[in-house]
Amino acid sequence: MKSSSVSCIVPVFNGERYLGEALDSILKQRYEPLEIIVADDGSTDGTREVVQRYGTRVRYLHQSNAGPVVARNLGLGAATGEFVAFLDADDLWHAEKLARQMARFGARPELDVCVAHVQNFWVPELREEEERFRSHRLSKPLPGYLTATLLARRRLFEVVGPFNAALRHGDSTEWFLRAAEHGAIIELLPDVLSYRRLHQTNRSRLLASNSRDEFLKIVKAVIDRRRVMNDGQVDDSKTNIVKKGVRA
Amino acid sequence: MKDLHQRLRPRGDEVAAKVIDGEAIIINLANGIYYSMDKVGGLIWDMVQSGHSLEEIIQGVTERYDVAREKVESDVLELVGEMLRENLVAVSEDGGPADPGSQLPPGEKVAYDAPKLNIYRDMGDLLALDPPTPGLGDTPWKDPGEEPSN
Repeated sequence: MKSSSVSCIVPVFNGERYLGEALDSILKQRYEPLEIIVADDGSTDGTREVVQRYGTRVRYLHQSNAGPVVARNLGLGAATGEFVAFLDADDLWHAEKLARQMARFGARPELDVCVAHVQNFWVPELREEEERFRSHRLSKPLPGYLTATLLARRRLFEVVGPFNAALRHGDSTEWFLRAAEHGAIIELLPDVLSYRRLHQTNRSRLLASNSRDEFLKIVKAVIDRRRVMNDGQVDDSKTNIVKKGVRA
Repeated sequence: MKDLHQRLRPRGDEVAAKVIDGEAIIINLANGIYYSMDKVGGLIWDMVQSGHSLEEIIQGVTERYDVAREKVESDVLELVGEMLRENLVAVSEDGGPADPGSQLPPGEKVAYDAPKLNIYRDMGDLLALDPPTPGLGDTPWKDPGEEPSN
């Protein structure tokens, strides 16, 4: 497989502090991507200047502030690669991320999506919180059904649709659920290939209580769709489409 | 659980739940298993959340649905046993609501279907990560040693 088919999309809002590290982690990939696209969601800090330092290696797109989901979709719409991958501006990739995932696509032509495990890490300012969570599941590698680990065939988005911009928090999960409902073949690698930075201003932290409500509504919508699919019967034994997709 | 005066409470730190269009949607945040209960089940979850005792719940369902009390009692106890086994609720030491009957205005009785806890275990991975962060910061998660094993 030629080393030139992955578009990397980085949505960002006021991300000057960590964006450089995120972009560096893409540029250090053993598997060289086709393109890196930064989708700036109307930042008012030095985000644009950070991107300019990378010259022609990074494409810069700008939109008026409309939320991270819209920015991610903006980048998706501009991508030209056969595959797409995503990295939020405060997170990091392992240098092997694209290589190991593309190897899976090479081995399994039927594969639609490859995800990997993700490791949370705390900024130094939150050392006390890090200590408190030292042996908690949040400190351990987690199955990364989120965009930071996602590598997918771009054409899958034509079938499944883009990320749902009506959601403020659960857009990533909702997309995976939708992909699974469409029968997408998803492989989860055991390797930790993405690192999620926990800092004082994570969106999910700011929106914690809202996110639970939104999440419950996403689940309700899934159950309603399953009910329609199963002709009025909510029967766990019949609703294994997700299981088939995820475990395949 | 035979003491009908006992009250239950959702395990708040580990369970996120909401009744949407009469259907209770419940997520066990510790393991990503999710659950739904509609119709009678939605009413029962709503009453559990409001702090009603088992006796009050049985009465409430009997008043609202066209069904014998004995059938409701047996169904409620079975459902509650399952909710306890799934770690969705715990026995509460708190008192009940000030006016236990006030939330159930009598109306025309409707047809009864036995309440059922639908369990979706096939998406644990998809749901395990997100939402994780509500546990951070101001809402502490339980000590990991106390996590239910699944």
